[in-house]
Amino acid sequence: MMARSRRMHSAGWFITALGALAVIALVGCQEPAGPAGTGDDNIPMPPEQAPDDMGADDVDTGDDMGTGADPVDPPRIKTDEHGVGHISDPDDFQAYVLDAKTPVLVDFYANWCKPCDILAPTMVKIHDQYEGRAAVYKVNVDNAKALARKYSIRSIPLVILFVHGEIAEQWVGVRPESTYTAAVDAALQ
Amino acid sequence: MEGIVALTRDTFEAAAGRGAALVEFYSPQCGHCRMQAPVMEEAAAGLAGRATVGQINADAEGELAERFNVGVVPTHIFLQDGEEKGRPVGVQKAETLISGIEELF
Repeated sequence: MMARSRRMHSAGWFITALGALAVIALVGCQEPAGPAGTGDDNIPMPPEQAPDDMGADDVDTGDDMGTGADPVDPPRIKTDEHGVGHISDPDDFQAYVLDAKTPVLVDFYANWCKPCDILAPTMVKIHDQYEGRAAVYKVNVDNAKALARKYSIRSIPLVILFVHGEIAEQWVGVRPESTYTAAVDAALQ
Repeated sequence: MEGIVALTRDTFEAAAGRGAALVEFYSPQCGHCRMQAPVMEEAAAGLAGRATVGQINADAEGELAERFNVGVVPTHIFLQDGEEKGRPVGVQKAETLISGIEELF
């Protein structure tokens, strides 16, 4: 009996000792991890945050408020003699077509394309008719290779109707005016 | 990009009625026509400034398909002043299409 209880006692001490070691080990692990963690946080974060914040502030308050706002507010794109805007730059396309609040018809054309000439008056008519409710822009594919590639334009004339930046419908070749206006009307409802 | 024009009944005469023209009747659902797309682009590049290169959606332009009696897509037609001078049917090589038009000059 005595021997057994003594053995139990020593086993108990052994377990306690193991527990203590485990605690020390854990604390030991935590201790270097703690300072290292906070150290990592402290050291890289301020340099990371500082230039980022500074950079962002510089861009936001400096560039955008100063130089950025000026060219964006008034139209940067050229308009033809019919008042239809011509877009060639992808940034302008983003601003005027993809970010537009209204439906937008984009007429992809080229100067050598005779059917495009035939379509042109229809687009001018729709431009005038829907002023303020829907927009019409023209893209000369020879001056806007990036846009022509992006929309995989193989043959022209190609008219794409964009609604909230998405392609709602597109037509290859010249279609009757009512084809385009019906789609614009549907987008306006 | 080099010039492929999409032709419809309203634009066919103005675009392909005069001079040399290579027109292809295709259908959007036709796999061979899709295979032919880069060939048409190559032909358009090769013929740029010399001939009109056009595509006609045979599904949408029944009148033109009927007028040229097109029963198979892709069908290519060589035209001179609106008159048919040759008709390679099916998938073609760009050289065939370019040389077919060059023979008209």
